[in-house]
Amino acid sequence: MTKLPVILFLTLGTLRAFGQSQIFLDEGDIQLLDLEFAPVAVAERQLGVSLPGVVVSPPDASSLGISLYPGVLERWHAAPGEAVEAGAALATLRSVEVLEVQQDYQVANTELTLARQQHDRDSQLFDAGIISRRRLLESETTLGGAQAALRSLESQLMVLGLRQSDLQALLAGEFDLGTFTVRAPAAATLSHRAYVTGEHVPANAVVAELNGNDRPWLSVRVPARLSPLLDVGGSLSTAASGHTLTLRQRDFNIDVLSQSVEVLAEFDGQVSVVPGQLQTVVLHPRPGAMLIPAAAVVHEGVESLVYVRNPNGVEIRALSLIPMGDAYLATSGIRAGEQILVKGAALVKGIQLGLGSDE
Amino acid sequence: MFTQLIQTALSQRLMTALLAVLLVGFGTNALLNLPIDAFPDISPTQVKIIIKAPGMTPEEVESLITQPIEVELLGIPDQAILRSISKYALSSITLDFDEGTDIYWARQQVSERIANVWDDLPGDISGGLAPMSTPLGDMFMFTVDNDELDLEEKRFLVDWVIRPALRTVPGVADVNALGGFVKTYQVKPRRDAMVRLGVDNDAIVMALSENNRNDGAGRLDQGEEALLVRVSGAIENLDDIRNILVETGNNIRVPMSEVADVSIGALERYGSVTADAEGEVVQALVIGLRGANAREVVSGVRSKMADIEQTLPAGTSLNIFYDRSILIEGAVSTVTRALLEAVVLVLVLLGVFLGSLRAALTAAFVLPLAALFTFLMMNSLDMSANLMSLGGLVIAIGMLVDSSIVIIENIVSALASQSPGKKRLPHLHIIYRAVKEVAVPVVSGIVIIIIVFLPLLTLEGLEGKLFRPVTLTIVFALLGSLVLSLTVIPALASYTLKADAHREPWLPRQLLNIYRPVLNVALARPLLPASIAGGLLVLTIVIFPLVGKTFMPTMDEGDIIIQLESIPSVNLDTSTNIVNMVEEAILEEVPEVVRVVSRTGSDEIGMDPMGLNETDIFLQLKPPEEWTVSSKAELEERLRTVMNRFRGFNYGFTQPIDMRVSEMLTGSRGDVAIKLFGDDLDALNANAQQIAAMVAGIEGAIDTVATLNEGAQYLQIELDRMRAGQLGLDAEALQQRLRAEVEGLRVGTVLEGTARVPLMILYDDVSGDGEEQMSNNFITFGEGSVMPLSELASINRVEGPVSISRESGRRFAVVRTNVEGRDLVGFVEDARNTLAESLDLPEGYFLEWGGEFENQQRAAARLTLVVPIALLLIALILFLTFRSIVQTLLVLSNIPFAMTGGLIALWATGEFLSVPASVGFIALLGIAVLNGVVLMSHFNHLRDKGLEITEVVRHGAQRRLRPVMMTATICAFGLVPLLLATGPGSEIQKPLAIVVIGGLISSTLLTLFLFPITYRRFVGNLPA
Repeated sequence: MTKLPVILFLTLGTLRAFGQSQIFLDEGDIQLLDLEFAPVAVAERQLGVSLPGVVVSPPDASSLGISLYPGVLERWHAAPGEAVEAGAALATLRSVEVLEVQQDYQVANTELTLARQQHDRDSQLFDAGIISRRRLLESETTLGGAQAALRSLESQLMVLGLRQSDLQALLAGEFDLGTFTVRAPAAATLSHRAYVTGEHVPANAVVAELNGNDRPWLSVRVPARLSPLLDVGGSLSTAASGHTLTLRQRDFNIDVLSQSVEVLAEFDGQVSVVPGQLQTVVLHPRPGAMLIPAAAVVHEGVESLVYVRNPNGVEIRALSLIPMGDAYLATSGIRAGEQILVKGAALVKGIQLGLGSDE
Repeated sequence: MFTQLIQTALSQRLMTALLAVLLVGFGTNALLNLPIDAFPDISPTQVKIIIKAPGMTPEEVESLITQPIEVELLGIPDQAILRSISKYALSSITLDFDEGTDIYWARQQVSERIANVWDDLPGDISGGLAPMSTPLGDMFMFTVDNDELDLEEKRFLVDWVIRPALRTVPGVADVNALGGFVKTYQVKPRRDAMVRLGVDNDAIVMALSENNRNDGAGRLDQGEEALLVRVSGAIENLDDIRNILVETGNNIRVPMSEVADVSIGALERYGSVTADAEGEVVQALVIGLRGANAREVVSGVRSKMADIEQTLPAGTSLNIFYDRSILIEGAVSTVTRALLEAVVLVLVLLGVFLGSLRAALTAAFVLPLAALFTFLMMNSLDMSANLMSLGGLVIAIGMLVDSSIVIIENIVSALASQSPGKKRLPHLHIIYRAVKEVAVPVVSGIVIIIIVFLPLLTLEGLEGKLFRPVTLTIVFALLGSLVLSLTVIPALASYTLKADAHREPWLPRQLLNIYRPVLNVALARPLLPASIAGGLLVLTIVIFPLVGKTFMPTMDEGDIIIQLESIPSVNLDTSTNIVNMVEEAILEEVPEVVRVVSRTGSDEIGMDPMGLNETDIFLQLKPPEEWTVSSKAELEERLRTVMNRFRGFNYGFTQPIDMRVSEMLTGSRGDVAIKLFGDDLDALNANAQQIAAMVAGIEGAIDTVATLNEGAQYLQIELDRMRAGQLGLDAEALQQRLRAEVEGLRVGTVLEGTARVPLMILYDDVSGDGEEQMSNNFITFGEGSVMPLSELASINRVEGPVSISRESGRRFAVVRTNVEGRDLVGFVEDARNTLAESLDLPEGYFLEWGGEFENQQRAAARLTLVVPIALLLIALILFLTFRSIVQTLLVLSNIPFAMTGGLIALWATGEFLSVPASVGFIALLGIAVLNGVVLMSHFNHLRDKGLEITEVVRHGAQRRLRPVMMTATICAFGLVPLLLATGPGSEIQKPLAIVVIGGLISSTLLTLFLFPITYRRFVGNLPA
């Protein structure tokens, strides 16, 4: 194909575009063709893109009872649905590794006692000038080491759920060696027991799940292409119930596999949802965008067109539109209150394309 | 040979009478058994292939389905033309075969070729050969109405009660259902549940497919008896579906109700039907088999409908809005009435000219016998009684009595010449001699007329199919009249005619009194009539270019169809609303319209694959006597006024059969179809629009349209196969999922009695902007993982063609136009000139002119070739008769003068030179030559007696005035009923009648005044 026809075609097309910016319609045409107009309004909050989400516990709040050491679950102390206080015992396990730690603790305690006794004697001898300062320092160092070792083992045992009283009982030989207790990290309701009595629990396994008393959160995977709509502090809502959420966290790295980002949003009020529950979430548009109903939009080539009423008929206006659910949003090119054609756009497009009578 | 025949007939009068009675018996039986139709079967041997290809764009359909099939079909012998149209999800290929090709053989050939290529076509297609019907197979249409039933229920009635019943009627090829909703059992998976449970689309498909079957498990022997084991597993109701277990990603199974909503739904629609601005209705269309008798089929259907109606739900009515038998009755009654009127007129004229009722009735006896003979021959050749075949009989009526008139007249003269008192010859002998005397000229005359019509048997295409029956009935009737005139008529005359003193009847006496002095003047001043004749010839040459040329007058079928075309991207609901608006306007403003039924989009079978933007609005009209306008043209003008007030869509007028015939013959509708062939769709579209604009500006152009073949909106989803493969996603499975997403995926069938209801998977409605929703759609894969579709595929909105038309393997675009107020040929000439001057086509692109114009060109070319051949044959016969070249040429010189009158009559009445008018000229050839033969024979006879040449011509012309006037008058008046007829089909025969009547006037006058002069001038000097 030579250039000239292409140039002519493009020129004609351009001229046509300019020439076709107005379609003349009178009241008779409007009535006959059953055309309807409606004013453009600012998009309401309830519009948006729907995405699937899942309810999760607040990410900062621990909601899991975890067994740090492997062992056999001996006993549960709470039932599902039971409210527990922070630190309350959830389950008792028996573990060989914990037994060793407890034994080490006992040994460490004995060594501490011996070290203290040695230090006291050395102090007396130093005061009497019998031993040198160096020897006193040695016994002080041994004492310090014994104290540190004891404290370390004590910490481990406390992490394993032993309390002070348990430690004392342990030292007194009145504690059931080898057992440890998984405790509630926070006041919550036991929602799920992951193991049954007698079952072996591996190290770092979640033994129990709890529902915190804080407001639940929602995890949503959002296609990366929609990430510009995500503003921390922005609002979302659930499609079915209309509960509102505030976007608290979002990934800034895109998951390579799914090409999506995870966002976490917190429910704004108390809601009766449980972790794991699926909810359809609506991402809302930015404020100030104009709502354009789908029926008002026609497409020609890559352009999206609406027909705006004017005294002579309608003006053909190309807009840059953002699809938003069942409608579109226009952030520029149209003002609130302008009348657009919302019924009969297909017919007017036909007129634009030259179909039918010119009368 | 003839003398032997005459002799036998007169000597064995009883036998002759018996043969006549047998003829009456068999002829009547043949008449009663003749199939009756409006038209002869004008359809070519045509095989249609319809392939459904869900989800494919026109370009994909073209490249993956249409082209491979076309290539395969190209090898079939005897094919005439190969056309195709590729639309969204549909390929329709039409293959026309040469005339005379057996339809079953043709279908077999096509079937075999399709089987060869089927495996190479995309896997998800369905279809094959269309029903064995013709484009004229749409015989009967009705709507199913019931205020208590919804559209789905009405559609169910059509699909599973009415259609099966009507298909049992002999001659019915199929019953096409349109409109309403097709019931489905619908499974709507909930996306959230699928994500939560790790269920993918394949699992749902598999669960539904594998849990819907009854089967036999074998046989158990119980003593001496057998127990057949049957496992019932087929789905019978919605709960059965809800309880089907589906495998989840955790290898556990959950009931279907946990992952999907199960309900009754409807299939994706490709078309709708509305009526009377009252919303949607359901319609059934009865398609007749190829070769079926339309009247019988319709009668059978009506009878079956009466039976069915009693079994339908209370309140259901079947309302007919198109019945082909009405047109058939109208057309046949038009020509039958014309026939009867012609017979009456001929009888009256016979009586007036012969002056004897007995003689008139005796001569007229040949009419019913010749007609019965014709029916007998038609029956033996499986011809139907229709507008054209019966029209041929009407045309021949005037000519049928010619031979018997000549014979009767000669008998009367011979009997009257027996002087009383002289010894009389035996009665039979007198008759024998009288008949024998005129046998040769009578036979020659009939043979000449038959030869004149024979070229019409060589016409091709539509005109061949239309006029072959005309020619055959004329030939049969003439042959019958010839044989009867030489046998039965003399035998009858021997009883009815006596030797009477013959006195010239009043009318011939008056005519002679007028003719004699004028003839004397002409003989005294030969230059005067010669000058007048010459002047008329010059006038003819001047008028000829002014007479428009067309193919065929349009038959008024009594119904009107308005075709609407909206923007290509319109959806079905909007299109339906637009149509509703138009229906309302028409019903409000055009009182002649009693009912409006509109069909938008395609039917289920795919016989008429219209797009969602195309609508046929069927107008059922009141009887013409109830109209407020005076003509159909005026009615169309009023409709045009209504339609022109609307904007935003194109429209055009047509009629049911006319529309189908145009499509059948040329693949497009309209008087003129300008086809632009080329490769690039955009270039085709752009140039077609340009051509349309140019043609629309030409005088006479109306309803000019180039189909807007661009602007259909496609959501193009292109899978990233590597990405999908990395994730272990099967592309085919993904495509299935997407189809389920939008249109629904059929996974089985649920049997409800005899009804087979589709079982479909369909996701939530894609609402708003489909592109956005599809993009955000999460696809589940392996172990509950999800990914938005936008990451597996590029999703883009693109514009594309609505359809791709091909002919003989090349793409084309078509510009259609109708012509009003001027002749077709002149219009096309102007259009050609305009386009040649202003249109610059790209290289490799070319135009072809089709439609009615194509038919006219073909017919004109054929007639230009065969008519001279016929004239040569006539010249040969004349030479054999007269043994003189001069005399032969003299007789042939009558022809131009006959043409003169015919052409002037056409011009004066504003009619165009069409194929029927051409047939009229051909008929005129024979009659004009016959008059010359009659005069020439008598002149020669008188010369042989030794009369002086002037006396020969004076006496001979006066003597032959009565037979010449009788022939001309009876032929002309025999056609007056056709001239004045107004019923369906009268438009086709009217030009013929105009030409013959006009030609007879000029031919007769010039024969009576000019022929004696030319005979005296050119033959008088020759030895006797």
